[in-house]
This record gives sequence, structure tokens and C-alpha cells, in this order.
Amino acid sequence: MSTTSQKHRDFVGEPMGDKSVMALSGIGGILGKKLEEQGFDKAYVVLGQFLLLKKDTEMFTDWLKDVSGANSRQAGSCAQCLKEWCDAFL
Amino acid sequence: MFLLQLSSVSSCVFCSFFSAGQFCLYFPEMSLSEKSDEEISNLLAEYGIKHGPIVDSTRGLYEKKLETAMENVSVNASPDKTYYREEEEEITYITYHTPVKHESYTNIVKRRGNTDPDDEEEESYQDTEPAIQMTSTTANHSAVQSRKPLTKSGGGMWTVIRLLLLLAVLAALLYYVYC
Repeated sequence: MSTTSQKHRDFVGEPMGDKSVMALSGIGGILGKKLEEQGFDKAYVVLGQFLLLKKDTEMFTDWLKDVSGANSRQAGSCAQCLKEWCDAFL
Repeated sequence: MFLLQLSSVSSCVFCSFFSAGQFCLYFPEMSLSEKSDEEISNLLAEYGIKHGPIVDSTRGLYEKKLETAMENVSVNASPDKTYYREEEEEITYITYHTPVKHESYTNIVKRRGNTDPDDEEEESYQDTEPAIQMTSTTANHSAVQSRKPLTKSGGGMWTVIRLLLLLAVLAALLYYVYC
């Protein structure tokens, strides 16, 4: 029974469609902007990266920390969010 | 940097004279960024790193993983081996020790209080002496030898041992209470 945020629940509860990258759990304004600068402007692009890394949350966390400067908590939250979304909809 | 590039080019040219189809075999550890995607994939498999396709967005991450893996391999070469052997010895002696706990209750209590001095242990108990003595010596040995890299796991081992002893003491206490 992990304590998930409302943002997490909102994201995991429905198909992501065209949601912005800032809809991802753990990704706020600053991190979202950094990701957009790298070309990851939509949540599904980040999903694409997650899938390229074979849905490995550890690898994805490392990548996200590297690319956006996220800390462990934020990156872990985003990874978990994407993992659960994939479990539900992929 | 320019000299390096020159030397790399010249070495590649030199290699090509000898082996037409192959790249520079004489300098395999040159730099990860110069390797092909396939070579990176092979290296990752060699180090046991599970990976996906090597593309633009994933390549940087995998190169970093390989660098840390290569560094870890060179660091953990010798000291880990000796520690692991001694750790194995420690474990076997402890498993021998546990069935005797009911008889040597007082011994356990004594041992709990005095983890350091070996001479006191030698004097007090006779039957379980060799087992305990051996564990203590190997434990000290391992603690002294490889203190730097692996104190965490050594300390973890000791807390496990202490927990087991505590449980044994509690069990004995309950036995005495309910008798």
C-alpha cells in the first residue's frame, strides 16, 4: 500500500493521450521544461524512452536523473507512474 | 586532443594494413563513444547489464553504465575475494553453533556481554569452545583485513548474529518463566 499522489492517480487512471510531460508524477515545472528542451515535450515521448529501456524502472530512473537533473525521489516517482500506466493500458 | 586523434587515426591505418575487414584490435579500450552500437551491446552483455536497443537517446546512458561497470571490476578484484572466503567460513561455523544454544545459555549471556576479549571465552566454556573461538577469530580477521571497502556488510553480519543471540536469550527466558 504505497502512498501515491493525486497526480499519480490521475495519470495512471486513464490513457495519457496528448498530455504534457508535466502531467507525469514527479515532473514539475522546472523538470518539465528541461525535458521539453531535450525534445521530450509530451508524456508519450517519455513513455517511448521508458519502453526503449525495456520498462526497467532503475534504468529509466538513471536516465531521467541524467537528462533532467531530477533527484531520486522525483525520478523514482515518474518511473513508477509510467510502470503502472503500462501495466494498465499497454 | 589533436595528437590523440592523430594517433588513433594512424593506429587505425596501421591496423588496416594487417587485417582488412577488422577495426583496431590493438586498442580495444580506446573510448566507448567510438565503438559501434553492436560493440556496446556486446560489452553490456559481457558485464551482465540488461539493455534495450542502442539508439541516440539510450546510448549515453549505456556508455555511463559500462564505465561504472569497468571501474567496479577493477576495484573489486582482489580484496573482495579474501573477504568472501572468510565470510563463508564464518557462516559455516555459526550454523554449527546454533543447536547447542539451549545447553550453553550462560555461555551465550557471557558472550553477549563480551564480544571483544578472546581470552575470557577461552577460559569459560569447554565443549563449544572451538566453534565460538573459530568464529571470533575469523570475524576479527576479516574485520581487520578488509575494513575499508566492505565494513557495511561485516557490520550487517554482526547485527544478524547479535539478533540471533538476543532471540536465543528471549527464548530461554520464556522457557524459565513458563516452567
